Order: sequence, then C-alpha cells, then structure tokens
Amino acid sequence: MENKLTFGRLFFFLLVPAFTTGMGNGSVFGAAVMCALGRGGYGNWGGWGMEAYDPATFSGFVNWMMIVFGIAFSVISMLAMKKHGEIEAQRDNTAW
Amino acid sequence: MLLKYLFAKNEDIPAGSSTIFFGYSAIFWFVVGTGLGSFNAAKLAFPDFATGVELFAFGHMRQVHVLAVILGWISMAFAMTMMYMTPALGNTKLWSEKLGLWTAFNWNAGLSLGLILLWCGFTSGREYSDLIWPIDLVVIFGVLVPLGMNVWMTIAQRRTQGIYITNWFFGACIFFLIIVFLVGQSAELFNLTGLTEGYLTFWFAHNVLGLWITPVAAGIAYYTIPKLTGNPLYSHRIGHLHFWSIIAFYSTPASHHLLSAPLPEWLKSFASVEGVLILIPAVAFVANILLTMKGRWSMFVENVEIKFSVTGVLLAIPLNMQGGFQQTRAINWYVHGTGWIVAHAHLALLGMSSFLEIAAVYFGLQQVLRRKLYSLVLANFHFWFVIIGFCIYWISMTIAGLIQGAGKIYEVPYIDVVIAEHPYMIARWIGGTMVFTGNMVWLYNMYMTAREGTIVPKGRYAHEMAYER
Repeated sequence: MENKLTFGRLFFFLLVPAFTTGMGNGSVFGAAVMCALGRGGYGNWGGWGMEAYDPATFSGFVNWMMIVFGIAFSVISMLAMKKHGEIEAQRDNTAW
Repeated sequence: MLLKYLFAKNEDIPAGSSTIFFGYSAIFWFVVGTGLGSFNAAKLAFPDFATGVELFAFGHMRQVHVLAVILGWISMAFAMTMMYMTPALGNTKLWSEKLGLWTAFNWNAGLSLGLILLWCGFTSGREYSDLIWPIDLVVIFGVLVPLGMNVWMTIAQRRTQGIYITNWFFGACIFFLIIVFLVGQSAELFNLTGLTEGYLTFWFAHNVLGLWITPVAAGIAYYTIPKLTGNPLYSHRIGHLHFWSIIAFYSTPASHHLLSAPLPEWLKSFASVEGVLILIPAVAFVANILLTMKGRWSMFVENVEIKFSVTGVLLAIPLNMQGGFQQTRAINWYVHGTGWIVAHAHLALLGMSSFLEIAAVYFGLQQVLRRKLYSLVLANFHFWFVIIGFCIYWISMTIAGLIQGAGKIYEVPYIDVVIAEHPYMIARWIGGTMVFTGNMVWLYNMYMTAREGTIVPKGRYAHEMAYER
C-alpha cells in the first residue's frame, strides 16, 4: 500500500501542533535558563550572544528558544512520521 | 424533545438519551464559553469596546467565561463520555438513563442560574470558585452526586471481569471532585478569611484542574485511541502507573500556586517538588497513547477524531513541561501573575483537555445517534480553526507574559508594558475568535448530523464510513 504519511500531507499537521509542542518546551527551557543565569540588569543576564530582554522591543532569549525548539520538534516529528508511514505501507503490502 | 423522558419510566427511555442531552449541551456551552472569551479578549484588545454598561465590564464577564467553559463545556463533555463509555466498557447498560437525563437537566438549569447571578455580580469573590454557595450545593448534590451514582453503579453492574483504566479515572475523579467542591467551598460556608481563604481557593483551583479536567480527559483518550485505531492499549500497567501517580503527586497541597504568600516554607517546597513529579504521570500517559498509535499513524492525517485526539496528546507534552517547571521558585519568580499563566491555563483547558473531549463527543454522538457525520469538510474546518486559533492565542499570550515578566523584574514603567503588549492582545482576540467560529460550525455540523446524517448500519462504526459516499 502507498505511504500515506508523506511530507506533503504531514507538513501542516506538524507545522501547527508539533511546532506549538516544541515551542512550549522551548518556553520552559528558555525561561529556566534565563532565570538561572539572569539576575542582573538588562545587559548582564549571564548568557551569551543576546540580551535577556531588549528594553526597546522586549524581545529576547526565550523567543528564540521557542522558535528553535519549535523547528526541532517539527523536524523530529516529521522524520518519525515519515518512517512510520514507510513501515505501515510495508506492513499492509505483506498482509501482516 | 428529550425533556419528555424526564417523567417517563426508566425502561421506556431509549439507551443513549442522556449521552445525547449531555453531548449537545456541552457543544452549546462551548459556543457560549468561547463566545464570551472572544468578547472579553476584544475588550482587552480594544479598550473602548463596549464601555459604559456595567454588565459588560471585564470584571463582570471574565469569570462567566471561565466557568461556562469549565462547568459547561468541559464537565458536560466529561459527563457525556461517561454516559456512553462506562457502560460500553462494562458490557452493560447505563444504570439509570432517567437519572442521567435529570442530571443533565439540573446541570443546565443550575449552571444557567449560577452564571446569570455571577454576571449580575453575585459572587463569592474567589477565582474558579466564584459561584455563591447555594449554587455550589446544587452542583454537588444535584449534579455531581447523581452523576457519580450512575457511573459507580454502572461499573458495579458491569459484565466484565476487570475494570478498564478509563473507568478507573471516571469513578475516582467524580469522587475527588465532590470532595474538592465540599472542601474548596467551605471557605464561604464557614466564613474563613485571609490566608486560609486564599489557600483554600487555590487548593480548589489546583485540584479542579489536576483531579478532574486533565485526568478525565486522559481517561477518555484511553478509550478513544484504542477504539478508533483498533489497536489494544499499549500497556495497562503504564496506565495504572499514570493513575496512581496522579493520585500521589497531583493531590498536592497546591501551595505552589501561592509561592509569594506567607504560607509555611516547607509546605511550598513540598508542593513544588510534587509539582515536578507530575512529569511521571505525564510521560506515562503520552508514551502509552502514542505507542498505542503504532501502525495506525496514517489515521492522524485521515481521521478527524484521531486528529483531535493525537493533537490533544501532543499538547500534553508542553503542558506538563510548563506546568512541572513554571511552579518552581526560580521560574515562578519570573512568570507569576503574567499572561504566561493565562496561556498555560488555555494550553490545559483549550489545548490538551478540549481536543480530547471534542474527539470523544464527535465519536460518541455519531455512535449513539447511529448517524454518520453530516460534513467531513466542516469537521476539518473545525479542527483547523480551533488548532490555529489556539496556537495564535497561546503563542501571543506566552510572549505577552514574558514581556510582563521582564517589565516586572526590571521595573519598566507600567504603561510601557501595556503599550508593548497591545499587538499581542489583538492577536489573542483573533485566535479566540477563530476558536469561537470553529465551534459555531461544529454546533451546526452536529445539529445537521442529528437531522440529516446518513444512518449507520448495525455492526459498523460511523468513523469507518467517513470516506464512503
């Protein structure tokens, strides 16, 4: 039987629910890191590469962590689901 | 139409009547609850909207939205699933259809009265337990005790040897909820004030979520996923681990909700440690359900009930990651009292819990009515509007919460924080309105299913016929 779990069919399913799931985990990770390290002022949060929060835009470390986790979770889920699709298609072919 | 059976003999009432009464009531309250949510969000996004009338003040309407969703939609959807799953899992009939119908009638009447009074300003003034004590007594003795009697007696009269994990959750959680209501409302009944009142308020709020809203939803998934996929549950033993670890770790003192309050430090630390241990039942549940899907993942893109169920299970992952860690002192210091918590609460109620219930209501109503869904297109429209609307809501409120947290910690002037949050408040309103729109379409779809859905022949499941014309 054909593989029903192709990237084309999975894209939006995993873009929305899986991305949200990843972002949720990223939000906790980001907030935990920021809280563990950042007890100083804006420019002195203890991390590298960016400020804890930019006072002009209020954007900062957690937002990026959420996006990175969201992408990571979506990619992992898509690869796993594609593999599932291959196994399911093979199983149906062999009348398992 | 179902009201005529209220005074009929129990044996004359068709099986499934109370399921149908509860099912349509739940969808109706979902529309009402999300409609009120959309209205409230509009008031936050556009401060000049609907001003000048006291009844439309945010302070009057916010708790009506919360309780319409918790006691109207979620709890009635639970009752609906109990009315058809409990007998099905015990290979028997519901103990009393008549009692089920009366429970649904009392619930609708009592909740309508309670919410109207609340809207008019008759309130206990305590978050989540806002209803005044006479209404609480109606909920306890007119709704929860009869519901419990029906479920417990149906389980007792089962014709199967063991009790399936879903019925463990159903039977136990109704018992917990009765205790939670009795103890949680005692602050008002016995005029307890100050810290004691605050503590009891959040003991109630914590346990309504942790011993009712999330575990019953999980119990539902233990039924729907194996039923729809045709796979047996991956592990009953892991299911039992889930059940008992919920009992052990979630029935905590709840004082991690009040980390800044002058409660004993040991009590707060104890609650916080148990709050992290909630990851044990969470991982057990998610792993068990996702492993039950093995070999049937194609249904995730094809079957609307599985779409909702699996999405709900996926959303349990960030829910419990957030819940487990945001209540530790380090993170709570940052996010307490911000929109982050509002986002988290919606992740629990609208995300994880509601998605699992929506699937069960879709499946249960089709099964009991013996009618195929009127429109799969509308059902998919419902799914996408609810999931995209929820995601917009959750992301915007999480970011708004982080802004508030930053503003709080760094002592940014309050008005600057308000201005910075404005776009996210508009996004929140758009997301909430999408959920409301999706639910109105759902109500129409289920109304038309009852009226014009193709009749399902004996021996077939409605969802199996979804793609047959």
